[in-house]
Amino acid sequence: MSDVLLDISGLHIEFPSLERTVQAVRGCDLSVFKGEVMGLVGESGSGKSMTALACLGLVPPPGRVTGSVRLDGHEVVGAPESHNRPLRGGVAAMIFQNPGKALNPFFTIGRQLTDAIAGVRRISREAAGKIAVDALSEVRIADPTQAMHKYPHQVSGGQLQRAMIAMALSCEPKLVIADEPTTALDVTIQAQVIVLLRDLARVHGLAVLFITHDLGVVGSLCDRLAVMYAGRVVESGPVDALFASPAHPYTASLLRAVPALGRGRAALTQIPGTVPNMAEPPTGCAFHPRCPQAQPRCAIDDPMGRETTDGRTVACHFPLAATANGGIAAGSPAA
Amino acid sequence: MTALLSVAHLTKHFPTRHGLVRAVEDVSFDVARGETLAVVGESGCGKTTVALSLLRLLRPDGGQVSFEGVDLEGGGDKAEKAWRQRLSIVFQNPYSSLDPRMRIRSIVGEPLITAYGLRGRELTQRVVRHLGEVGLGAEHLYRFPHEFSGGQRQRIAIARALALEPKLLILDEPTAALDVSVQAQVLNLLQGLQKSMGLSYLFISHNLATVENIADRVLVMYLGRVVEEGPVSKIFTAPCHPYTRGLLDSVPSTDLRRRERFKPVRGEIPSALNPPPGCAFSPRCARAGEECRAAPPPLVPAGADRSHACLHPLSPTG
Repeated sequence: MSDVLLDISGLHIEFPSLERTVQAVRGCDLSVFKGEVMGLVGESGSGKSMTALACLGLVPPPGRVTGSVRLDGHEVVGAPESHNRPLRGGVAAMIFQNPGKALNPFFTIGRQLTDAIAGVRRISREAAGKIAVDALSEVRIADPTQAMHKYPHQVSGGQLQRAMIAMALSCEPKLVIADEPTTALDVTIQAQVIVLLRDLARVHGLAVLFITHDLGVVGSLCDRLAVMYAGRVVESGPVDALFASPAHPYTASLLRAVPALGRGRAALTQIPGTVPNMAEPPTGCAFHPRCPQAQPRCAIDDPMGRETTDGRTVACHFPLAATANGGIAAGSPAA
Repeated sequence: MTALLSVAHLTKHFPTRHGLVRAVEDVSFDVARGETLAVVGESGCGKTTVALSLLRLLRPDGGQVSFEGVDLEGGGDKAEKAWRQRLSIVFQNPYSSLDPRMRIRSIVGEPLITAYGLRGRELTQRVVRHLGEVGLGAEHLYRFPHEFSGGQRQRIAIARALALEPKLLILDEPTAALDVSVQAQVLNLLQGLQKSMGLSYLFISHNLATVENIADRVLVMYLGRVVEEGPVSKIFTAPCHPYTRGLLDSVPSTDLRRRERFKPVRGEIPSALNPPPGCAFSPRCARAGEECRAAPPPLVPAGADRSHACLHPLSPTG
C-alpha cells in the first residue's frame, strides 16, 4: 500500500514529577517515507531526541507516552516489550550522538558488532562475524579485520562513529534513526560521515531520520525536513522549498539567525528571548513570545498543523506568504 | 600602526608518557587595535593552547609575546598581574565557567576586588555598569548562575571579562555551547561591544560560518602550526592552502547550490604524538609530493596581506 515507513501522529511524552509535569513532546506529527532522508531539526529541549526514542519504544521511565507511532505497520506505543523488541535493529536501527558512550569500553568493536548481529538475526557467531567485517568495510574502515580486534579507546571518534553506522546497517534495517551522529566530530570528519550516510541511503534504499540542530547539515544531506519547537513539529516539507520560502516564523528566524558561509558580515537577525521551559510552556502557540508576527490570537489559540500545497505542513495562524525569491537567500532582515 | 598584541614564534610542548606533544610550534601573529583575528582549526590543532599561553595560564616554552610594544617576558609577577588586566577571556561553556555557589555580583566583581580592592557601593556600581554593557539589569545582582539561561550566562561571563576594561578579549568558542536561536544574540552583542569600546578580539572557533560573520582576519592552524593567514574575505573566497580549501568544502550549508561543492577531505587528523614528517597535512593532501614530506614548509607571503605554508599552493584567484 502506501510508502510510509514511519508514521507518528499526536505523540505526547510527559515526565511527571512531584511539582509539575515536563511535557517533552506535545502532539508531534511526522512521517518518513521509504528511501528518503528526513531531517528533524530542533534546539535542545525541543523534544527531538525523545521523539526518536519513542519510535523504538525506548522512552525511559517515568516517561508517559500517548498517541501513535506506527513503524512499518506495527504500533509501537503501548505495545508489549516482546512486540517491540524484534523491531529494534531489524526494522529500525539507531545511531547515537556519542559513539564513545554507546559502545562498551570493555569489549572489542568486533565482539560488540558480532553480538548485535547474532542476536538480531539469530545466526551463529561465526556467520555474524563475517557480516560484521563486511559491514565495517562498507563504511570504509581501512582494515576491517584488524578493526574488529580493537577496543573503542584505540580508535578515533570518526572511526567509532563509522563502526556504529556499520552496526546499525548490519541487520539490514529499513529505517536508520541517527540522533546528532556528527555533532561530536570535527568538521572534516563530519563531512565524511554525511557523505557516507548519503551514499549508503542511496545504495540500500534506506530511509533515514536524521536528528540535528544544524540546518547546514540538513542542507547537505536531507530530502525533507521537519522543524520542531517546544515538543511539536511547527513546519515540514521538502528541504529546497522550506529553505527558499519558510512559512513558519520560527523557521524563517532560525535561517536568518544562523551564520552561513558565503554571506559575509551581514548582520544576523536575532531571535529575542530563550527556548521555553517545558514544565511551563507558553499558552497558545509556544513560539508567540518570541515571534515577530505574533497577534493577540496567538497567545490564546494553539495552532494545529495544517497541510498546505506541495506536501508541506505548517502550524501557524499567520504563515509567511510563499514568495518566489523573497526567501533567506536574499537575506533581507526584517526591519 | 603598531600592533596591540604581537606574538612571535610561540612554542608550547607537553612532555607525556608516550612522548613529546608539540601542541604549538612556531606560531606568530599580530592583532591590531579594534580588530578581530580568528584562529580556526579542528580539535588538537593548538588553538586553545595559544589562548592559554597568552594568558599565562600555561607557560610557553619559547617565543615572544608583547602588548603595545612592551615585551611580557622578564617583568616578574607585577608585570604579569598588569598583563592580565589588559587581556581577558570568555570560555566556551558558561555552564562550567561560572561558580554555581557565587552570586552574580561576586562573579563579575571578583576581578575588581582582586585588582583594585573595590568594595561596597563602589563595587556594586561598577558591576551594575558592566552588566548594563551586556544588556542585563541590576535586578540580577544577587541571583545565582542556575537562575539564568545559557545565553544570559554567557553575557555574565562577558561582563566579568570586561570588568577590568581590557583592550583585548580572547573568545574561546563563545557560542558553541549555546542554543542556535541564542547564538546570534551573543554574536551581535560582541560586535556591538567592539564598536563602542574599540576592543580587539582573538576569536577561537571551529565554526567557519561564525568566523566569516565576525572576524577581519583569520589564522588557520593544523597540528600546532599556522598553515594560512590573511583577511577573511580573501582566504574564504580563494584559499591558498589545500587544508583551508578542504575545511571550507567540509562546511555543510543551507545554501543548496553548495551541495555539489560539499566534498570532504580524506583521512583523519594524525596523532600529535606521532606527526607525519614534513608538512603535517601531506598524508591527506591530493597535491602533496616527495618534497612535502622532507621538511615542514615555511610560512611564505602571498601578496601584501596574506601568507601560507604550502609548497604547492592553490592559485589565489580560485
